[in-house]
Amino acid sequence: MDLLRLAVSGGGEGAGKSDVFFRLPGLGLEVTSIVTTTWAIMAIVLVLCWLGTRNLGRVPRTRGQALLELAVDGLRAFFAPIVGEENARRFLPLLGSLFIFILLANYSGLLPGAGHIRGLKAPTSNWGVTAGLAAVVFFSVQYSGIRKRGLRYFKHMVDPWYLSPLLLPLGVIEEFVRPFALSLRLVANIFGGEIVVLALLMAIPWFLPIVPLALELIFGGIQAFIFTFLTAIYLSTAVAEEH
Amino acid sequence: MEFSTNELIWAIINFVVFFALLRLFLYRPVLKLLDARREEIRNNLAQAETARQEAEAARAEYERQAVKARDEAQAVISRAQATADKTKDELLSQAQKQSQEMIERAQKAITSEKDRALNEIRQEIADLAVMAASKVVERSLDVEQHREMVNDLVKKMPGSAGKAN
Amino acid sequence: MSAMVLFSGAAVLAMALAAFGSAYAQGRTGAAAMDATWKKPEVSGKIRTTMMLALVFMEALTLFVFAIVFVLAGRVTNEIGVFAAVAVVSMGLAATGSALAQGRTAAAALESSWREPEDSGDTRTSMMLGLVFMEALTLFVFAIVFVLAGSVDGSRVVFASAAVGAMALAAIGSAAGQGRTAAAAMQATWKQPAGAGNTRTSMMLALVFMEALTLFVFAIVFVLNGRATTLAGNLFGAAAVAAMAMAAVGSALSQGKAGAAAMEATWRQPEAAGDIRTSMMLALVFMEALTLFVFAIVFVLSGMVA
Repeated sequence: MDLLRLAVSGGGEGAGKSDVFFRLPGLGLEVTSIVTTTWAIMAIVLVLCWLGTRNLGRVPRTRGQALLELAVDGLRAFFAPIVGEENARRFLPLLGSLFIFILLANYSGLLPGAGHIRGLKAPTSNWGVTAGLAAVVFFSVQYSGIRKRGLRYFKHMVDPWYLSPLLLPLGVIEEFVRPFALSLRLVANIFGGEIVVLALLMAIPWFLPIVPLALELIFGGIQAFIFTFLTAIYLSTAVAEEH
Repeated sequence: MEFSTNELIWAIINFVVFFALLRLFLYRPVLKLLDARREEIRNNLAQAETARQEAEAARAEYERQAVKARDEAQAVISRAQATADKTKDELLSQAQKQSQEMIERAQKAITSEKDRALNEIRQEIADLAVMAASKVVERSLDVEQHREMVNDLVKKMPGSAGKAN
Repeated sequence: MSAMVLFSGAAVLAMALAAFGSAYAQGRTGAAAMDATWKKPEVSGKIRTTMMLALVFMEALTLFVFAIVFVLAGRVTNEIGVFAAVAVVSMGLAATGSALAQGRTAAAALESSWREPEDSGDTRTSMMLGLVFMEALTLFVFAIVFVLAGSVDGSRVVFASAAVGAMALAAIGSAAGQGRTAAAAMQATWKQPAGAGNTRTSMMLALVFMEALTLFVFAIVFVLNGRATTLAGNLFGAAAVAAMAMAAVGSALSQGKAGAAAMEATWRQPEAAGDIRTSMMLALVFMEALTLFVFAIVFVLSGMVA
């Protein structure tokens, strides 16, 4: 039960000082297990990309290059029908990075010992992390909309002007509900899944936890997909000219 | 499940760094490469298309000329045919005309010959009749009366009405 | 002693509930399988496989209830007797909800597999995916009972009891919505076999949203659990989780309706599958937001109450 309680407390306030590796002087930022896991994910992905794209040939020379090309082109082909060819090209770096980041963060929670050994904890099982990602999405959507359409971006909030007392607050609330929902949906799924696996592991320690583990494998992918899918829709509606 | 600002700030920093580095190391080079390759393929396709169009044009030209030659040969043949037909018709009609003329001439000759023969026969008959009559009558008739009688007789002969000479 | 009596009674009731739900669903599945077998005897092997897989899921639901009864039985004290009793009954209710939705889905899948025998593999994959989501709902209730059982004491018993009840309610709502959408997806699979992949993706996305509703209740329980030690904390927590559960049920039922309509639209107009999916997602996001408003209010207020 200690294991579970540690997992439930999120290794944060509950576990207290034990999870903080060090503080950044002056900034008050603490490096926790979640931060180190994030760094590890970033490092792995970036090193792979660096190795794969070190000497790109017009005809793929290495397996790594072929794989990276497949990934980038696959992501583009995946987003194209949702947001259109042009938007898929423009938003690919953001959407692709989000997808890779969330997917690996979700899956890091499936590694043995994740959540109860120091330095390894699924980043997306913490609401702060998903809220941070959602904040990035929020600012990207606003930035893209305003950059592409200027003040017309806000038109839908005041369109029939006589309805604007109603539309304006609704529009503003909606803009904030979106990232809120994005972050909470992701964290609730990953965190909930983690707890289910742990609870089953302790209640019925035999073969049964295989089932929720396999479930987590599916759900982790689906959640990364949903997060980026909705981000793609928000971005494309923000830059779309009204007809 | 706690909401920790520490993790939120870290997530934003980490993700922005991750995004920037991925753009630098992954998206920019790979997209550039993919675009270059796409461009190349598009160029190759365009070239192939041009070559195909040229071949197509050459083939069309060749076909056009073949058709022209065939048409010309056809025209020559039909011209020759027409000439031959005309010549044939001319010869035919000429021959017809000639034969017609010959027939007509022959008929004329036959008619005049018949008339002459008839006259001769008539003369003969008249003389014979006079001779016979004088023999029968055994009296000499006055020549004038005689001729008148013969002429009457001749007039009564069939086929000679009004044709006395 | 009285706590143990209460718990035992509740456990028996819970097992009965779960067994009833599983049995009803299995009956429905079995009947659909029989029906399919005489209509298309030549694919009876495939039909049997599909049926067996579905039955295993429903059987497992009752086993989860059995497991939680077993786990709690060793921990029942007079202090937390009420919690243990409510918890097992909640598990029973959740299992019943999941089972009924699974039965609806499996029956539709079996109909699909005799109407379009060539694509029974596609149908089976979609069915399994749907059943997995519904199974997970009961597992979330299982997990919350398990976690609360570890932390509950006399000072939190009101909140903990309300929390497991709320989870069960939310799970039932989510399961009902999921069942409706998944059944419609099974129908779409035989009506438009070429679009089976598209239908499955859309179905999966819709089910994820309904799953998330139960998970929001799950999350709020965790948020409130640390603060529910005073009487005020208990009462507020109980009211909060009840409110969340009600909101989740409403959202789930409407999402189920929207999801089912999207599935039907997908088979009626397969070319527009992408557009339909995007519209469906946007609609589901709005219905989800309603539950999230309750979540936000509870989250903000919980800080003030504590």
